[in-house]
Formats: sequence, structure tokens, C-alpha cells
Amino acid sequence: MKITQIRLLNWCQYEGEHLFDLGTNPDRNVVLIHADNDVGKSSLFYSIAWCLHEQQPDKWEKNNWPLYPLPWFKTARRGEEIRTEVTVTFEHQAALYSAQRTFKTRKTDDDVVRTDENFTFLRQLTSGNWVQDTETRLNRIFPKSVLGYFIFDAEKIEHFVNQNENVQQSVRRLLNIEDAERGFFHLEQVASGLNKEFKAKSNSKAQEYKQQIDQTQKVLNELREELDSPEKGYKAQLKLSKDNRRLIEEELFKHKEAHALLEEEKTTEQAIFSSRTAVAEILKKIKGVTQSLYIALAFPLVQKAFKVLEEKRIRGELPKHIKRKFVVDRIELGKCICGTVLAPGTVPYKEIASFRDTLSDDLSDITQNLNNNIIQVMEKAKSQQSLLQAHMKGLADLKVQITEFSDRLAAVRSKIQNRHDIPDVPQLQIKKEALEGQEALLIRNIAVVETRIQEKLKFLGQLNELLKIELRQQKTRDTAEQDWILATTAQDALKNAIASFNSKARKYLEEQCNIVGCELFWRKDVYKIHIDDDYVITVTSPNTGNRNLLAGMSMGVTHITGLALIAALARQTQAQAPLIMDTPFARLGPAHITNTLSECPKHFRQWILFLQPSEWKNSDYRPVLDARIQKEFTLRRDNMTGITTAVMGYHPEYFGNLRK
Amino acid sequence: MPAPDKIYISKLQEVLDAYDRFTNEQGDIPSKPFRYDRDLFLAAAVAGSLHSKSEPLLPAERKEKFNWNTLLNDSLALPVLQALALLKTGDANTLLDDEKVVSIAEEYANAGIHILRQRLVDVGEDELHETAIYMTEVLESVLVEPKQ
Repeated sequence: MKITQIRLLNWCQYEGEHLFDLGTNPDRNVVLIHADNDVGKSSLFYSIAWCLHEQQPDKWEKNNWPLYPLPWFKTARRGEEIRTEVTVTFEHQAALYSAQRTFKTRKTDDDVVRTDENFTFLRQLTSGNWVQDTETRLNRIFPKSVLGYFIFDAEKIEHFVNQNENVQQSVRRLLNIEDAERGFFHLEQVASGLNKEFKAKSNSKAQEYKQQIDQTQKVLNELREELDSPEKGYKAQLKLSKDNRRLIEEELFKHKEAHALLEEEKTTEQAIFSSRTAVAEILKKIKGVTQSLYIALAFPLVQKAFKVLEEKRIRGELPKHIKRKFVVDRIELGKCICGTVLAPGTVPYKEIASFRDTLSDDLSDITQNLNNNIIQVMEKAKSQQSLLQAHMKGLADLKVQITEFSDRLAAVRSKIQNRHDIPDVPQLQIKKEALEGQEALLIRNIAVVETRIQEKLKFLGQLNELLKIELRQQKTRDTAEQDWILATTAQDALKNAIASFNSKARKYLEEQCNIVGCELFWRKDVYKIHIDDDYVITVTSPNTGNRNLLAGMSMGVTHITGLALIAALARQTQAQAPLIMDTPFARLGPAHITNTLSECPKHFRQWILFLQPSEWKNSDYRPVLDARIQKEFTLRRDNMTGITTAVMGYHPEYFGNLRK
Repeated sequence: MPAPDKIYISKLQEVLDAYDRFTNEQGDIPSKPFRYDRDLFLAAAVAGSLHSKSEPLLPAERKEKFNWNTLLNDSLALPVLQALALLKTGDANTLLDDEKVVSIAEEYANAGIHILRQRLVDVGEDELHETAIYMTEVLESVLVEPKQ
């Protein structure tokens, strides 16, 4: 980068338009600008940084330094406006660029308002036309971060060696380490995001399902062991029980005949028991008849009583079966039921009245009832006979049956007693029944366990399905995990690369510093510049060991060390930036200045020096630099108007004008 | 006429024993011919009448055995006793006097119980069997079809 032109319009003391053509001769790269104090040297110096990156010195910002021309303000009326423009044109890699920053100032009652701030960055095409370019390109050509290194007030050059954090950062930035570190942090963030992603996806569900599957499988195995274990399993127990039962059954089968006798004995006993039960039932029925023994005994008596009543009726000793009231009613009616008129005093009336007097309703009723009951007694007696005959016959039959069964039972028991081949059948039978009971229990247990196995298998199937789903999701997680691995690997690689580069860059910078330092000032091996990992600079001497001499060194040496650092940085970074220094030699002795004038132009594409008269001994220094001077200006201020203008060349006659 | 309240029997031990022996079951299998005292009383009264034997039952010698209402629970019991009273007195008006009917029955039963006790005593299996046999014989004898 090489600045070819600075154009100021209404910039600070530079009211009106001012053009500084810095030239394009590639063999000459030094521009000298001479000015007395307070003429406008610093205003011109800072116009470059302000134009390129809107950067002002701290004291300007702190004091709200006016960037518009104060002469204008003094004469301007309220509401009047003035436009300020700073245009810096530069060449970089055979292309011409132009940066322009503008604003307007409008005067108010006793202050100003700044408006219409604007910045344009243009690139000239080969055709000669200018086109808009991006600030990104400007930042690549001359980043804001390096401004302080290449455009600086030399009075503050010691800042470069009196390290602070900003300097360290800036050095890292110049060495592109910061970009690499940004890349590293970006990768770290990417890796962190991926880590979160796959951690989120790698929820413990799959693991949980696997554990559940393991547990279920374990339970399943236990159940199967419970069921199928050849020694203790239910199925083995069942088989053993069945085998034992079969042995018992075979044993019993061998003695089938004997067993049949026992069965017959049992059957006969049951038959006898049933017959006896039937006997008891029939005896109850017989008792139901005998309890009315009086009916049977009374039969002849009631027959006799029936006859007596009949005879009494026949003899008229018993009242007719006519109700007295009926006869009384007929008499009162005066007419018999047969139609005879019953008139008082007549024979029929007397006869019926006499008949009425013989009638007794009670006796009539009781004898009538007795008659009826006697008939019932006789009928019941007859039914008693048939019932009793039937029951007695049934009883006799049952007794015969019981006798037969008893005889048979006796015979069977006799046979049983006479046999010697009958094993302990009842005992075997008990064992067999016990085994049957055991088998039933085992079958039930087997069914229970098999049901549980089915349930577990079903649950296992469900868990496997869930696990498959989780594992399918895990594939995407694996992708994230792989990305994370890549990112962290890249992060580590970058970290190592940064560390390696940092170390190499630091070492190279250190070497370059020492080389430039020797070129500028000291003989080789007199001083040695050290730059540690944090870019802290120390200076040692072989004569004083490891003691840092920087604090005790003269300002000039410190100044040169700073220059050496800047030159080394420029060389190392191939920044191709111009070195623009305000009051560059104020703290240097003549020897240092001469060395500097001799060596610095070699390290920078352009060296622009803003010189005070006091630091420039024209007769001494010009010969050293003459062959490299491209342009030279002297600034002067009109004491009347306060406006600064530039005059080409070196004009010491303008110095002291201000004081005059 | 007022209805009788209680039915009395002799308080002689052998009479009381007889009532116990012919009614009091000891097990599940029936062996006694009568279910209630009333049933034995009726049979004894009829037996006494059948054999024309009656023994007066003086107040000092008697013991109440069951209630009048218990007797009436058997619908044929009173008519049979009325028949006995009718045959004993020959007077139909006796039928209107339950006290008289019962009194006649008690005297017959007082004599008849001994007849039954002798006849129904267990000689073979038990009293139930003896009674069934006796009853069969009685019925066969009284229910003979009249000869043509």
C-alpha cells in the first residue's frame, strides 16, 4: 500500500480544498512534511487514520475536537452549513483505491450539529472509471487493527515495548494469530453445539432400554431355569412325579385281581350303606303310617258308630238334616216347600210346628260331621293298609338285599384275607394320590411360569422395538458425534497449529527484531531482544545475563527497539503498509536518526514523516535520505485567517512564523 | 260347653315309661312307632274301647300329657274319640260335650295303654316293626272284603 494523494476539504485548519500529491515513483518512498507546532501537522497526520477508519487520537475524542474549520465557525451564521471531506487515494497491488469520508456541520446558536456522515470506498478500473468497493477489501488491505502500528505518534513509540494487553493483541492480530484463534473458538463453539446435540440425542433411553432388556432377559432366564432346569425345574419334577406314579400304577396293575377284590369290597360296602340309608327312609315312611295306629284300630268302632247314628236317624232320635231357621222361615211364609199352605190352626201348620221344635242345629252339625269323618277314617285305614303293605314289602326287599350284600362282602373279605400277593395297596394308593396332587400343583406352577414367560417375552419384544427406534435415532446422533469428533479434532489440530505457528511466529519476530535492531542501532550481540509467549518484549545483554535492560535503557534505545519491532512486524507480515510517523525523531540522538533514516526506508513501501523543525537538521540528514525523497511539503498558517496551507518543498522560512 | 284344656294320663311309672318307650327316638334310624304322645294316647284310647276296657283316672292319679289343641291338630282325632263316646253312652248328645268325650277317652286310654304295651313290646327288632306288624294284622282283619 502506498498513499498517492490526500485531499482535504474544510478539514480542521484546512478550510477550503487542499491537495497533497504524494507521488507514485516506486524508487522513492519517503515523504517529508515539515511544520511548526500548531500549524496543522497533526491534523493532516490524523486525517489519514480518520478517513480510512474514522480513528481519532484519544485527546481529540475526549475534548470533542472540532473537525470542521474553526475560522468558518467564527464567521458562520446560525443555520449555515459546511461540508467536510477527507479523501485518501492509494495504490495497492497495482490497483488504485480511493477512500472518502464526509460529513456536514451546521451551526446552531452557539454550537454545531454534525449531519450527513458518509463513507465511500472506490476502486479504479483499468478503464479509468471508479467503482464502489467494499470496506471488507479496505480492511484486508489496511486493517484498523494495524493503524496504530503504521500510523503513529513517535512520541508514543515506547508503548510498543512497554507491553500492555492491547499491544499483545495487536501483535497477534498482525500475525494473523487472532484470526486463527477466532477459528479455534468458532470450532470450539461448533464442537460444543454438536456435543450438546448428540448428548441431547444420546439420552439415556437406549441405555435404559438395554438395561431393562438385560433385566427382563435375566428374569426370563430365571423363569426358564425354574421351568426347564434338569434338576429342579417344574417340568423335571413333573416328569419325575409321573414316572413315580407310573411305577405305582404298574405295581398296582400287577396286582389287578387283588385290586379288583378291594374295589369290590368297597363297592359292596357302599351298596350296603346305600341300602341301609334306604331302609332308614322306608322306616320313616312306615313310622308315618304307624303313628296313626288309632285309625286302624278304630276302623270297626267307627263302622259301629256309623250304624248307631244311622239307626238313631231312622228311629228319629236324631234331628233331620234340616236347619231350624229354614223351617221357621217356611212357617212365616205360610207355605211348605211341597206347596201345602201353612195356615195357623191347620193340621199341616201344627205338624210343621212340632217338627220345628225337634230340630237342633248343633247336634245336626256334629252328627253330620261325625258321619263324614267316620267315612274319612275308614278311607284312611284302607290307604294305610296299602301303604303299609308297600313299605313293609320294600323293607323286606331291602333287608334281603342287605343280607345278600353282607354275604358278598363277607366272601370278598374272606378272599382278601386269604391272599398273600396283595401289596400294601392302600399305601400305594395314597402315594399315587399324593403324586397326582403333586402333579396337579406342578402343572399349575408350569402354567403360571409359562404365562409369566409369555408376558416377559411380549415385554421383551416391546423393549426391542423401542430400542430399535432409539438406535435409529442414535444413527443421527452418531452423525452429530462424528461431526463433533471432526470438529474437536480440527479444534485440537488448529490449537496445535496456532501454538506451533505462534511459537514459530514469535521466534521469527524475535529474530527479525534483533536483525532490524542491529541494522538500526547496535552492533550484533550487544543487545538481544526477547519476545516471550505473551509477546512481552525484554532486552538483555550478554554482559548482564538475563536481566531485562529495557527499563533502564535510554528513551532513544527504547524508541529504536519499537521501530525494530514495527519493522520486523512489517517484514514478517508483509503488510506493505506505509509507515507514517509524527515527530519521529524528537527523542533520538543524531546517530540514531541517521541510522533510522538510512535503514527504515528499506523496510516499508512508504515512509511519511511529519517533522518538527527541531528534529530535522537539514544539512545532516538530507544527504542520507535525499535519494529516497519523493515529495516534500512545508505547512504554513495564515495568521490572519487561521487557515493552513501546504507549500511544496522544504521552506524553513515559514518556521517561527507563528511565533512571530 | 267349655272346651277341655289338658289331656291327662296315669302317672304310674309303667305308663310314663310306655309313653317314653314308644315315642322317644334315640338315633337317626326310626325305631319307635309314634311321633307324638298324642298318637300313642289315641291308639291306647281306641285299643281300650276295642277291648271294652276302661279305667277311671282320678285327679290324684293323673298327669297332664298334652294340650287339647295338640289333639285337634289331627283332624280325625276328635271324630274318633266322639265315636268312642257315642258307642259308650249310646246318646248322640254326648257328642256335644267335649269334656265328656275326653273323659271317656282318658279312661279308655288308661286301660288301653297296657294292652298296647304288652302287644307292641319289642320282641324281635324294635317297637316300630312290632307296631307295623300289628297294624298290618289289624288292617287285614278289619278290612276283609265282604263275601259275596
